[in-house]
Amino acid sequence: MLILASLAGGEKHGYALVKDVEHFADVHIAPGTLYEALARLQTQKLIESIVSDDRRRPYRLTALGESVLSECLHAQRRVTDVGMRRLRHVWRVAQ
Amino acid sequence: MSSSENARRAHRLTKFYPTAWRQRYGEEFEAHMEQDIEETPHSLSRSLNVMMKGFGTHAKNLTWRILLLEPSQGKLRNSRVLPTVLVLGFALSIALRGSNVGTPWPALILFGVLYALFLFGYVYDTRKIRTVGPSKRFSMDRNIMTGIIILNSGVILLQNAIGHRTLVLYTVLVLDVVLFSVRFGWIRRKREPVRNPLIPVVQGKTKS
Amino acid sequence: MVAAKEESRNFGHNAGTVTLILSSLAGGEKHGYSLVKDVEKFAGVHIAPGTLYEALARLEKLKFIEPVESDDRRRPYRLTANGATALANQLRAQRRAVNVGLKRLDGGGLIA
Repeated sequence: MLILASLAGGEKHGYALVKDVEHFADVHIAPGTLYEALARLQTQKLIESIVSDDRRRPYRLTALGESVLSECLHAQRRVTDVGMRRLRHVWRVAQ
Repeated sequence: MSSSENARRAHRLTKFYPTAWRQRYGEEFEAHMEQDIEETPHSLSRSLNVMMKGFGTHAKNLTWRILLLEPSQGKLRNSRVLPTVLVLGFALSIALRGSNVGTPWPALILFGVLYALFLFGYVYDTRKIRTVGPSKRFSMDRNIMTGIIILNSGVILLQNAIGHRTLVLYTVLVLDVVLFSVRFGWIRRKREPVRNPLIPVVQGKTKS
Repeated sequence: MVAAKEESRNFGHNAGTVTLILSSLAGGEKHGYSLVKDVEKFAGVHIAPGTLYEALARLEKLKFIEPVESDDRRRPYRLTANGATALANQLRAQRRAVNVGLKRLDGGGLIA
């Protein structure tokens, strides 16, 4: 899902993807993991690769990918909110 | 499905985990499984999950970290050293069987070192922790391990002198498996229950 | 962002499961089965027993949760102060990432 979110900001190739995810989510994706995920997302038609002169191949979100990402993010936000609400009420943890 | 049937299934599934783990988590895990089975009587994914995680917990014991255990955890260490040595010895002996090495000193030295480690723990255990003497399970471990080491080392050392080499090798392989099974309790000696003559037999069954 | 890195190391590759478990316990102490039911209800995710107990053992070692004394066969767990802090940090980081994603989907313009 991190990959999808990263591509939501515009098409990127592998290396730029890793850098971007590191920047906004503090998570480092190893090359092996990355390309495995890219292959899987392509099969699921959530992303597609773009023909380019560059040796490195950029990817972008498909329309399906966009809607799946949106659904996932909203669901994730709902779940995160449950946790935060409970922490606030039971544990008095500040936001 | 009766609840005792569920309890039995839950118990069987919990057995995939090592004894030490079960001492800490076994009870609550079984209770959890019972409730889960009651709600979802059949689930392949659940059975697979429990089996895989159970084996995974066993595998966690087979790491080099056993060497870092405190002497006071002697019993824990011993329960880990033996499976590790057995698995290693087993794998090594299989690997070496194919090749016609002269005398594979590295393999024998490795056996020797691991055995020494085990014996050290054994002596420590009997001297410091248990004043009564080694536990039965520990003695069995020691005997079985000695047996396996002598058997496999003998075959490796004498391979050139043995006639009917293939037959001997396969026999030793089978014996390895048997010793493994005895150690892990997969083969149990069948014992006839001793009948107390003072208790009357009712309908062919012994009243306990 | 250093705190977030600490958290992701503690939460490990099963970060999703661990976060769900801690979120569940944030609402009050529970034993294994109730935990699974609660997570199913608020997140729609089913945690298998093997996975659950692996995570519980890890969380206990990290001192994020602790078992509660009980006569019941089933042993309830509760969140510790450390666990609450770790969970708060993790949820904050998660919400940040989600917001970035949502903003990008909207083309950086109006936020839904």
